[in-house]
Amino acid sequence: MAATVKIYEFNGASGSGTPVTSAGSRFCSADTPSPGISYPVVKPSDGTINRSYWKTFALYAETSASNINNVKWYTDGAIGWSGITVYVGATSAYTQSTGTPGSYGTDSAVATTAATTYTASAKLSVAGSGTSGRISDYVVLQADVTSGASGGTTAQEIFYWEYDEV
Amino acid sequence: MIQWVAEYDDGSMISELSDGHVMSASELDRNKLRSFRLELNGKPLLTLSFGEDRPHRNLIFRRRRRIGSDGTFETITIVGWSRDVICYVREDGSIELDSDRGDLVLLDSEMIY
Repeated sequence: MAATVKIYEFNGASGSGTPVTSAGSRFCSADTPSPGISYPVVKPSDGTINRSYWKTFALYAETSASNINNVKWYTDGAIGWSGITVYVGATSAYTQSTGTPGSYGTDSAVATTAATTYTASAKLSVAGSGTSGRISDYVVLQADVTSGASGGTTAQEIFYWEYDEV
Repeated sequence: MIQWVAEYDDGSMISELSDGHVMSASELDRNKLRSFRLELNGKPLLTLSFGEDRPHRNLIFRRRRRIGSDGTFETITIVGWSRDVICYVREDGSIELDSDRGDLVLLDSEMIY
């Protein structure tokens, strides 16, 4: 049987992990893996940006795997959210997301490259290898919302993780 | 389901799954490897022969997994004997032959010196 490897979201001061379900993860204005429709990112006035709290993810092996390496992250090259740009970056250190709950998040120093830069032909390399527990470094995502954004919830976008089991 | 079966020079056979234990291909003794076969649902799909050309053919084997943030999961089995000759085998048994596409991290045991 294949090992059970999942995408985990990390939250809180200690970075406790929660598996991401098929419903995905939602950008919001709180440090929580399951905000529902609470904690929206408030649409800003003209000329300003309101950011989501950053989201921190990693690959996590729930059951022991053959050695895993060559971890990558990428998008399909387009995010169909008008007025919203998603940024991404990777880091070995977990830092809890901060901001003003219910309004907006603090600008991430890690998520600084437009996520759509990374595609199936130009993937983000994520350090890390192993057989159990957290396999990879953290991938940090943050959504920047401008006044050009449409109000309400956005359609789901899919981001991809890839790895090799040796 | 795609699984592998290896044959050593002495004719002994080793399966990826035996007695409920999952063996990693990296545990195989490459110095004794005569052939390496992929099977799809128990039927032969692809066989790599090593034999006397073994010094120039070193087994490379991976399962490349892709997880989508929506929970989708795909596997491509990667098998070959050098960076230049790699088969990409999809779960339905279809096979593409290509180079390593520049994104394969080889183990020392998989290098040809």
